[in-house]
Amino acid sequence: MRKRSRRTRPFKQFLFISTCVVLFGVLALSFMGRKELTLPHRFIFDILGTAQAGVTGVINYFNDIQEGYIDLIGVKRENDRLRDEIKKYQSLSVTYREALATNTLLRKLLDFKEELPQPTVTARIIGRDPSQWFKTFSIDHSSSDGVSKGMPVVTADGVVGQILDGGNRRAKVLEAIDPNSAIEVLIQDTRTQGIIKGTGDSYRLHYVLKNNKVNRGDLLITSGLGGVFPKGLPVGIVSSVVSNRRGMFLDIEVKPVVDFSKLENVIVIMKSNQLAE
Amino acid sequence: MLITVFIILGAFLLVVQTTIFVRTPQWLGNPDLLFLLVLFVATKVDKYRGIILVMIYGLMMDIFSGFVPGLYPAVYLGLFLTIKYISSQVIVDEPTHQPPLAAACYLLCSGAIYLYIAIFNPGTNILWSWRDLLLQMFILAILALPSYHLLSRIVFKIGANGKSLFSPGKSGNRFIS
Repeated sequence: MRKRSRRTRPFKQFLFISTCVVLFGVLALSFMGRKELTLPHRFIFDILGTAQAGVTGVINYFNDIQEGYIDLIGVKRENDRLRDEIKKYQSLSVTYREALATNTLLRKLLDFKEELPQPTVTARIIGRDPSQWFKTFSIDHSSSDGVSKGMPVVTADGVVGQILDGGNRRAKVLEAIDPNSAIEVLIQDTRTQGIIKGTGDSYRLHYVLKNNKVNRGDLLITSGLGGVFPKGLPVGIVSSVVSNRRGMFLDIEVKPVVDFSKLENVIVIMKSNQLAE
Repeated sequence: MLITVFIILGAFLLVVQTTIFVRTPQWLGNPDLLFLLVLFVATKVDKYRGIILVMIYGLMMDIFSGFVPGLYPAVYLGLFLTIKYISSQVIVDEPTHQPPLAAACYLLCSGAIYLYIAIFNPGTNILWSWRDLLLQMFILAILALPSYHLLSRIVFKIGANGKSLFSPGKSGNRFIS
């Protein structure tokens, strides 16, 4: 066996080297001047290409997961930042809307004030009656501002009430819907006069004879009689008219034009030479 | 010092009642917190300090509510004396008695207000609504127990050595006033 391996080893080496040279020569001759892939190339290319595509797909899959994860961190940060900005702008939007609403309301009050003949003062409501027996509220103006008892209190929508009493800094207003309030009114269309009294949440029109024509939807305005309220201020709208068999007068329910639950600012109509003094 | 604290507390409750709770919807009601305070003073405070406190509370209510001067001091004083008399005969100052006591006292006070105005101010009209009255009684009955515990705690915290300053001479027997 030893004699055989000594003789065959150089032969095997020679065979190997010559095969490589031949192959190299064949390849060099076969590719010389060619620009296209040969059939073996294409065959190998297809097989290897399929394997490549598979491996690349797997690599891309894991790459996407990794990039997606990293991106999400950035997206989350961006999301949080954008959410904070949205909150900031939302609160600003609320502030601006409130400012716009207040502006509109005060413009309305101002326009209405300018229409009134007497001097006026705008007051803010600072508190309401804590009990269920009376309908009153407090305003932030009083005798030091020229406000005194009996002065009418109105808004751009209509009659609110009158000054009941006050201290040096605050005054109390009796709402027109209080049962103790009574206002001389007349129906705008027919000029029928009557007295409106509060019932707690609406009005009732008294002393209107049955022979008078009163319809639902008729607007009631102040008549100016009594010297408390100027003439022509809206008070309420007739909501129901009932003619009972007994009695001389109609039973008339009136809905206030002013929403007393939403009052914020009111106008106090002062007597003509109050401010001058 | 305790009287000062209770006056400030009464003023605070009244301000809350007239500014915050009036903005709630009408069907929800507006709890009369000062009334609960008056009830507590009537059940737990001694006569002399109690009278001072209820008169001050009545004056504060007179300012903010209605236009019949002297109405609330008279009503609160009457309530105070009535509860003092009842408590000398029957136990009414226990926590479990507070809800029915609050509801019953509010109903009695409402009737008293109506009578007072009818007799002394006949020209004055008053709003009477059974719905609002019953709602208020219900709310006060619910709030009576927690307010009683809270006010008792305040008294205990402020009182020296853990004893209530309102009743310095109280004996160990709770059935003796």
